[in-house]
Amino acid sequence: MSETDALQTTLAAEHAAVYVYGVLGGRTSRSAERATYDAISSAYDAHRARRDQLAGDLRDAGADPVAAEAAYEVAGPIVTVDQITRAARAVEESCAATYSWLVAETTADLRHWAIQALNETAVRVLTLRGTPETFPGVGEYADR
Amino acid sequence: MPVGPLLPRRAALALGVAGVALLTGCDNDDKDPAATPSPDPDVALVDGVVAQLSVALRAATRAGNADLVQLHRAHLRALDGSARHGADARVPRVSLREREKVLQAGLANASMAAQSGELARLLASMSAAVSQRLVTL
Repeated sequence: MSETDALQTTLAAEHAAVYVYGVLGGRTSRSAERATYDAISSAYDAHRARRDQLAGDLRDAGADPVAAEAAYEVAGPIVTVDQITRAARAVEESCAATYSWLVAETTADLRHWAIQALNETAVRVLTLRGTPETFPGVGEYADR
Repeated sequence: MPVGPLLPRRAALALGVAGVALLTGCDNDDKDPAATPSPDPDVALVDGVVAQLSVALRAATRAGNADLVQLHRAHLRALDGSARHGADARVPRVSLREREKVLQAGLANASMAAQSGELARLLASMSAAVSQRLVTL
């Protein structure tokens, strides 16, 4: 797989993340659950920035950035704060897996970008009531 | 997404190098068969990471931080490495947080330097795990 293809796959993941966070933000009360609202908003901003950066990088490379789907499935009910933060953690865990995969598929500046993204998404999980992991984004090592 | 098997370090590194050759379509037709193969740079890289993890493990053990001890042991196992005794004999004493910050950067740098994509992925994940611990240290 070329690095351009790998970036396209990562961009597709960011499209999904931005969509899901948009939905989750709409289900979160700023006044009643300020900490959750802030965490969801911050995550939304971060993924939107990554999406835009990836799309720009792909255009710079002469590629046509993959477009977002019309809609994405949000797993499970998203009514309570626990359900919302669980859904948000699922987004971050999915992105972590994508970033770690991107690390393996790239070199130099792109790999550096992927390492940074993996580190940031792992830390973001903690703001969403997550707990530290032993191998973020690399599930097959998790039971070691 | 591709998921690599759990393999001993040197076997995994050997497969990683072979995988890179296959993916890039490289062949060995133009190489001198009598030439001594170059040492795999990832072996030395992993040896360096094991040394860093050993230092961090001893510091975490001294500090009584069970979570970090467990983390570093798991990371050493993933690299098929054993903690090295006396690895920190010449390492200056710094705070646990500073030690972990150095380790996080070292793991990220090692990920950048790895020839094997799968090794780079594992090292990047380790750096992210340390980043998570730094939030609360």
